[in-house]
Amino acid sequence: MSWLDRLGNLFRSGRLAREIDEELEFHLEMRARDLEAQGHAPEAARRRARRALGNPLAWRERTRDADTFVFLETLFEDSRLGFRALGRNPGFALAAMLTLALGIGANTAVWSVIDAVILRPLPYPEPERLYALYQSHEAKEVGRTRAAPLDFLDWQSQNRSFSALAAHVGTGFTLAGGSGREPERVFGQLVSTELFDALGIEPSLGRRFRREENEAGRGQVVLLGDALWRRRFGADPGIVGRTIVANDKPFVVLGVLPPGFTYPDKHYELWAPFPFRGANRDGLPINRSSRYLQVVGRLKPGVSPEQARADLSAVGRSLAERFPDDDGHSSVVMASLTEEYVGAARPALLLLLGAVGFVLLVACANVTSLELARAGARRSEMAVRAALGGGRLRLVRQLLTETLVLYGLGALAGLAFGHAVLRAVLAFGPRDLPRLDQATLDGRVLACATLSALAAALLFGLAPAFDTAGRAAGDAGGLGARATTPGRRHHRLRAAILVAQVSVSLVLLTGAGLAARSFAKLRAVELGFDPGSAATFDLVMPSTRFPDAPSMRAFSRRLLERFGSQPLFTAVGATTHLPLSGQDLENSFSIEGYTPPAGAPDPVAGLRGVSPGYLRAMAIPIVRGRGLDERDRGGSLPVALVNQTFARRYWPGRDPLGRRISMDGPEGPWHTVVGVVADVRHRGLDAAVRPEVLWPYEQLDPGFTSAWARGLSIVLRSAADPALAADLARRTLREVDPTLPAIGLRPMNDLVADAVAQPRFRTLLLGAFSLLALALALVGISGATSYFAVQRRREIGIRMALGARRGAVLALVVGRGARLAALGIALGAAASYALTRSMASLLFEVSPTDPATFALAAGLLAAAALLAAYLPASRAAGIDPVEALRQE
Amino acid sequence: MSKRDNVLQGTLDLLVLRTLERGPLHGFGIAVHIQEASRELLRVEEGSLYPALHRLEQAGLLAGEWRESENRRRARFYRLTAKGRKQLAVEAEKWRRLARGVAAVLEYA
Repeated sequence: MSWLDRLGNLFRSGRLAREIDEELEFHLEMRARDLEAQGHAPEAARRRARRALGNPLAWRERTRDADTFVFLETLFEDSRLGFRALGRNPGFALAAMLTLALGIGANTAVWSVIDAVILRPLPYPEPERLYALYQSHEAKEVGRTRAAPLDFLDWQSQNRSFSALAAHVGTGFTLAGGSGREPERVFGQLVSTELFDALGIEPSLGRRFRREENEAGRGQVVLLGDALWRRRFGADPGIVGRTIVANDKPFVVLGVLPPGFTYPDKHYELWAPFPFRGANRDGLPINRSSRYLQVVGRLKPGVSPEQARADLSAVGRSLAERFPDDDGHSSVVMASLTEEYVGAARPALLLLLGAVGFVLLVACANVTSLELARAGARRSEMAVRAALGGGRLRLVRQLLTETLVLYGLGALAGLAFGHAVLRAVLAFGPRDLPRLDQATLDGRVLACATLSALAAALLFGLAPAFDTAGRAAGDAGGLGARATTPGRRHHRLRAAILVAQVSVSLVLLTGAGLAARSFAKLRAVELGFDPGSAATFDLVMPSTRFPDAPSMRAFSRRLLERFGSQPLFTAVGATTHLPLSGQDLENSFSIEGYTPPAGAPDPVAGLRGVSPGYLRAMAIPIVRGRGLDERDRGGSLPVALVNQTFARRYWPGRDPLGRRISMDGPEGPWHTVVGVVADVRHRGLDAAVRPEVLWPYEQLDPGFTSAWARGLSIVLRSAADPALAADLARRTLREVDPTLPAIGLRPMNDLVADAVAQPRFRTLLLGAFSLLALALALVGISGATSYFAVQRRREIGIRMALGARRGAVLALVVGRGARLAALGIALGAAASYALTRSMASLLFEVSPTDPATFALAAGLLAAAALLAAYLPASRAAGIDPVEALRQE
Repeated sequence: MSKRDNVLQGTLDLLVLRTLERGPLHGFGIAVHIQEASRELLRVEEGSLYPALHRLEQAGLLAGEWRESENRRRARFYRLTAKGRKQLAVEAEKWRRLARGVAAVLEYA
């Protein structure tokens, strides 16, 4: 019977008891028949037979015990011995447990994050069949773009691979206030009606969209997110069929989506049909050149991704032939939706996974070397056990069980620590890491922690167990004799562990150093504006009350004048696209006197409309010429500002002032460049600055203004207390227009902090983990050195008695630790050189093999290692030689 | 119970192993065989027999399985494993040596 069967017997005791009963019943019957044959009466024969067997309860118990006891007895005995041994040496137990708790805790926290962000499937049925579709362009600087509405409709009708293909674009909705409630701005999506068919999601109340609802001008309908429905509409079950007012227009509520549903992410709470057909489209351009639709599709069952890709290229080719102006030199490509969501987060999280893995390695190594050190103290106990007949394997098993008990306790404490780490991560983690808020220590993470603790216990417990048991067998012969010094193999094992710890710590330290250097460079980047003592908020001018560009211009001028009249605000400005806000717009330009080489596209630049006060409010330096002022209105001479990169690229070595550019081709109005402004990091601190043009808001094309420039970011500079300034900002806006909410009112510095949230997050965690590993390694070095000093106590005593100076003793003890640390540092530097390349994509302006960082990390570790070895060594050098010699 | 019933624990194991060397047998058969083979000199304490059988099975010396007995009833048959066969040789040799030693002492004049 295998031990598994035996363990099984514990749980199958009912069946086992029945089997034993049957076996004994057979015996009784045979015995009784035998007795009958000898002439006994049947009744008497039965009685005698039973008497011969004895007390039935007793033998049944004894028989069953024989089946389960042997195995369990040793297991319980070993665990009991394990607990007792740990209790006898609480210092060791506590140190080891704490070490393991740190290692396992850090791991569980990172696993929870990875599980939530990367591993969990997207919350839609069969998410592996969902794909994002893009238009891909031959021109490298354009690359992959979203789809233009008419192209999307062709993709939808011509493909044969997707059961549903849907398009959507994000937008804002201002929910009307009233009955004591403030107006509220929420994010929503204009979607093609197939979106929920593609996602495979059914509303929990009401119904999905119908195809004809994509026509503008029909009664407008809307689906609400569960959270919005609860927050704004009190979870009213009768909401379906009711009319709500958003963007000053009535919408009939069709239904409510299930709790927890998000698409494309949790910021969006409202879905309305995109007006592909019909009039009154709110200025949304329906053409083949405005590429602003995201496309998602569900693959038909049985269609492979390869077939779908081939199908899409065919669709792309036919469009390129039919519409060479817009779709020439382009095709249609797809990418797994899951990959689109989690792909970007993967490298950083895998890096952290590697880091915590290393931390656990160092922690386990520490516990192993603690166990090895303790083995010395337990030699007589082990020798007694060996002499009393404990076989070598039996001793190994006992020691392994002790280690298991230790790791089990460590894992328990580690879960508590991991929970704390995870809470800190959730509180301070970057907001733009998708699904981070869903990270929990769930069953999968617990199972993972348990299994890895078990595996680590077996892996790291085997060496000390065999070492100890082996020596015990050797010692058993000479119990009374003084314990001899541990063997050479024992020392080698300890030395190897120490070297490994040091090298792994160095890898972590180097990685953290690179991340920190990269982060410092990122923070030192010249932003091109001053985010200090400035605040910003967004507002949107709804088309119902501001139908055209003149009404919008008049309102914005009135608004800025009112803000400007408040003495608390020292500068006030507005822009259509604020840096680092995620809002961006690119457009092609014509430059007077510049013809692009044959086949090359027109120059492309970032475009934003700004108010006259914008440069002063943002504190953007003017490099040449002038800024904008009150002269630059709708009717006056069209002007523009360019950034330094624009000037350098298109007019290298020439004066940009007085040159002219146009956004509408050669026949469009030509704008004269009147100034050059500093480069601003618009798309992120680590993104290269591209050419940009600043247009006076009031000189933007009227059609463009009413379609694309309804949203304004207001920038307010004030030396006052931020809370006071924010309050005044809200009050002032309410005075100008009580129906418009101040969206996302926050200090400019928050935008900068959000822009570096992910690198800051990984740098902090990497730093924390590397310091943890360093601390553990130092404890290891210190422990190993003091163990060495204790082993050599006698030798040290003799040397000192013979006149060795303190320095010589120090050199002897520190020297050994230093040699091992040096070896570890050499190996660690080589390993770092090989491993840090994997983080190249996460580094900003720092080479993954940056020599300064490598040298600094190695130097730091060497200094710390020397210190860790010095402390126990100086204690060793302080002993009284007479004492030391007498003790043995 | 008379004194002759008292079989030393280790001896019971040896007797069981030796009995099963002849072929698979159920518990009752083992008890009967030991009694007969020892010409009624040894009687197995039946209350100890079954715990012993299960213990030997645990140790891997015996293997048990349910089979139909000679009177067409289900009975648990035990058979010697390879390990049991080896153990039998060792135990038997030990016993013979012990017996010789004891005999030598008893007969020492």
